[in-house]
Amino acid sequence: MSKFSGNTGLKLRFSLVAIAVIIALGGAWFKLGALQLYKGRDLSKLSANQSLSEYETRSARGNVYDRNGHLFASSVSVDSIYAQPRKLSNPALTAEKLARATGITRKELQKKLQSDKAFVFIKRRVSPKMSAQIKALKLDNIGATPEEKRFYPNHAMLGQLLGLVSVDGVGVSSIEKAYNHILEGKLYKRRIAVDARGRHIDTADMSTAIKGGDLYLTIDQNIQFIAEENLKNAMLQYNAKAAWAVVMDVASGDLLAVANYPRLNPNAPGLSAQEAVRNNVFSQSYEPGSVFKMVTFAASLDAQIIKPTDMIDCENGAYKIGRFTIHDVSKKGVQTAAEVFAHSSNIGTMKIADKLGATKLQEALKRYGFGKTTGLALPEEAAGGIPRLPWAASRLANVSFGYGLTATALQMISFAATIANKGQKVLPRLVDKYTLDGTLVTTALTTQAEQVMSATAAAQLTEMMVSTTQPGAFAFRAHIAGTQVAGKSGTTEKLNALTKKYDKKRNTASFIGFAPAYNPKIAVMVVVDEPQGASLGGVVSAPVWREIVKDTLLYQGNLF
Amino acid sequence: MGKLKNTRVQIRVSIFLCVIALALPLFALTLVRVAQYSEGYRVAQLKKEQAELMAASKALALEIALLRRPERILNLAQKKLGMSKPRLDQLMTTATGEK
Repeated sequence: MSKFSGNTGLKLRFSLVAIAVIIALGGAWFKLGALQLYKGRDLSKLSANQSLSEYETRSARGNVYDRNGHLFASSVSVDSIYAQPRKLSNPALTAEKLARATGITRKELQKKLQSDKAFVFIKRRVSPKMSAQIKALKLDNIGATPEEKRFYPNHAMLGQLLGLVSVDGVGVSSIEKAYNHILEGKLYKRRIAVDARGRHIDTADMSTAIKGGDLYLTIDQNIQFIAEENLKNAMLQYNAKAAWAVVMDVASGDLLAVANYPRLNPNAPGLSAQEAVRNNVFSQSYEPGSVFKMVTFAASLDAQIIKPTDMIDCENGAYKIGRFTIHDVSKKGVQTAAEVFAHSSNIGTMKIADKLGATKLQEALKRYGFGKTTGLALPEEAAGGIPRLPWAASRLANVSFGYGLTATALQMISFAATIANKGQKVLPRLVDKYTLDGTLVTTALTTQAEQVMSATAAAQLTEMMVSTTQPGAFAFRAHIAGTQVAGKSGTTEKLNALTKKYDKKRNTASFIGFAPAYNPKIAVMVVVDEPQGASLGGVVSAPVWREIVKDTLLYQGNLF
Repeated sequence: MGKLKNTRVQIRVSIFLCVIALALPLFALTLVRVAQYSEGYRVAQLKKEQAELMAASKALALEIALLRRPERILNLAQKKLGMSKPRLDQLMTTATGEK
């Protein structure tokens, strides 16, 4: 009888099977445990290399707002198209299909798709239309991941001042550059995982992707619009080369509008005119012409070398200094200093400057802020230039009526605001507040307590500037019925770089002033470059100035 | 004979219990890992939804900004509503004093 037959045999067979099962299962469990506990980490790494791709990107860039919270700049999430070259079975075919959708050449695409990389970008920040076209192709190992792209909802409004951002989300000009350290999103790693079924899983942790800080400018969107609309009208009327305007709050120095024409659309900078790139308010340093007589008069009144009632001989409009002859548009004989200002007499102003002296005039220019930047920390701000002493008589004459030196509209408006502020220096302010790491930070007011001219001199000059804008006066086109305004016009002949002579056919027409004259709220400057058909500041720029001032005061509730 | 039978049963039960004691933790570990991965998918899905909602909120904020553009408002006022800028003689001050 076999030991495997009968009851004993049954038990023996059962035991053998049980032992075999136990050994097999035990082996399986041992292997499972070994894989999980000892080899788990290495195997995870291997899986990650095969199925995970990682790349560095920036979180959303901070927003830029106007003083009332209207959005000027933001970032939108758009798709960036990527490929996983190591996994592509037919890079050539994929390249051919992608070439049509992306507009990139097949050769260039093939080079990327045949590389030995686990992850490459095909095209970054594409339009929603292009993204949809590529997704519709349903290509294996080609996917889309969201990235941030800068967008300006007001299009060309404030374009030059806002500036541009590079493809990598870094500010490259103006505010975007100067305040990049606040605005820029933080760098973080974004992962794209592929599961066993080939599904793409974006595993970026949004909570760790800290957004850049937000910036609140002093600019008022509505006043900016008022300035730009009126500049546009002037450009159309006079077929000018360019125009710019700036509006400042005289009490705080807040810049309420910084307008440039032609405009720059940061959404499509390549489509803007070449002349649109420049922010003329900040960076165009030019010979200001007659508007600069305010400065000469301010310095002279402050030094008390003249009074508004002093009589000055304006030589009937022609006066010789050495080999130069100075001319006046309005040919007058003897008139008061106030009339010299009202009639914008070059001869009268030159004689006043001569009485003051070059040294004192130059000191005053420096004290008022000319020849240096205003401290706004914008990369494109120009400092202008004041000639070094000693000055010949002809140089002193030129400087007195705004030639032989250069200044920006920003410097001029700061000076006008200083007069309006009773002689206390006003410096421009562009950023009201910003957020940094979630905290709101208000920037300090930049108005200095420094008294750069006496309140008496400021008041006397204000009177003169009011007289200029009265009906029948030189700049009557700036007059606003029911509201007193203070202003000064200027017309500058531009220097021809080749001939080194002033060109009568190429002018810059300006007007600067503040309103209401005796309770000033805003200072405004308008400059029209190379207007056609008319050239005088009082004719071309004064009406534009008037409309900007009127509409701004109306908007603020300060008109009457 | 009875005693021998009991001892054998005890041995078999002990072996059986040892096997269970060894297998159960490993089985539990496997279950935990499976749960971890499936929760991971859920978390990834929720993160994706969160990102989509944030993007949608931002898109709406941008749309508001586009709708509020002064140029657009002026265009609507002039062309659709036939409005125009008031003349100075059409303006009236209704209240005086500090704001």
